[in-house]
Amino acid sequence: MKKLVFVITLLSITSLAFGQQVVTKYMDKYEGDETFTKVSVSSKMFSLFSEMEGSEEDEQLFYDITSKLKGMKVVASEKVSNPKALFEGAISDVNKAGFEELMTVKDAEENVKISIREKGGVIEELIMVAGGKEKFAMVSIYGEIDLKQISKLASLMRVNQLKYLENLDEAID
Amino acid sequence: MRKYLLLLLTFSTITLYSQESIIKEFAEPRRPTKWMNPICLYPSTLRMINITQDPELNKLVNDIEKVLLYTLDSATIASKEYTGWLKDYESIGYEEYVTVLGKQELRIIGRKEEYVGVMATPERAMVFYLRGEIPFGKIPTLLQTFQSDDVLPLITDQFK
Repeated sequence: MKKLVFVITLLSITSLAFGQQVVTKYMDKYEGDETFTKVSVSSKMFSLFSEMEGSEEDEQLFYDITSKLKGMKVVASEKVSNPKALFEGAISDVNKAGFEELMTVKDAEENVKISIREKGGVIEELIMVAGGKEKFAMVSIYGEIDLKQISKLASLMRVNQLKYLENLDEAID
Repeated sequence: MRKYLLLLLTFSTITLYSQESIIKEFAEPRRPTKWMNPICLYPSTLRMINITQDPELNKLVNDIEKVLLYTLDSATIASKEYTGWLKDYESIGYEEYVTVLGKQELRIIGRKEEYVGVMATPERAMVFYLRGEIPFGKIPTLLQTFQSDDVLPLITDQFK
């Protein structure tokens, strides 16, 4: 029995770490490159990026959502030399890591792909990859994710790269 | 009973001292001048550097027990080797709260009511140890206060 619990625990840790590896890989790759901003934030610090001027109701909702999340990682640059290749490479890495596509947005300015990794009916990680003419961004949110609440979270946070998640609830309805 | 209380007090003091010692070992040899002491702030002194007497800031520092603050020398800033010591804290259970890397750098790790971290720009870098109650998300606001052009000279100029 003890062995079984140990194996399950080990598998859960490995699975969580494996997902985050996609973004971590990009954070490591561009560690010394100051044109890339790298952010890693635990759920405890989510309020750092929030617009807390809102109502008490919003504040409560914000804490309810973030209490189930474990963290967020962002790698972004406003000026990359080969954004198309970087975007396609990132999408390929996300697919290889076992994520399934949830939503794609394409316009004249940007391509955005949002993917999720699910386990036992629970979404454990959401990855958004965005590529523009010169821009690139990769965002990973991990923990226990409710897609409908992610839209609200995105609207409450002052993170520019999350703007595409604000309409996620409408897209999945 | 008194013996146990004494033992507990001694143990707590040793534990707290040892946690401060990691940052001290790193930052002491990297002070900009040898006579520039670290800044050690308590709630009363924290309120003193609140030049604009912002009531929010006064409220924020109320439950802080201690802040230990070091500015780093130019050689360390140039080498950007100011984060390695955080691994020693991570090895005793401190976990990552926030990391922002780019033109500016911010790292905060913590455990219970103790936090350590780095705040750096290309021109200046500070490392800190903070003990006490403070909302997690407000730590950078507090650190920003220390780095503001109004407050920083008050802390550092006297040592020039």
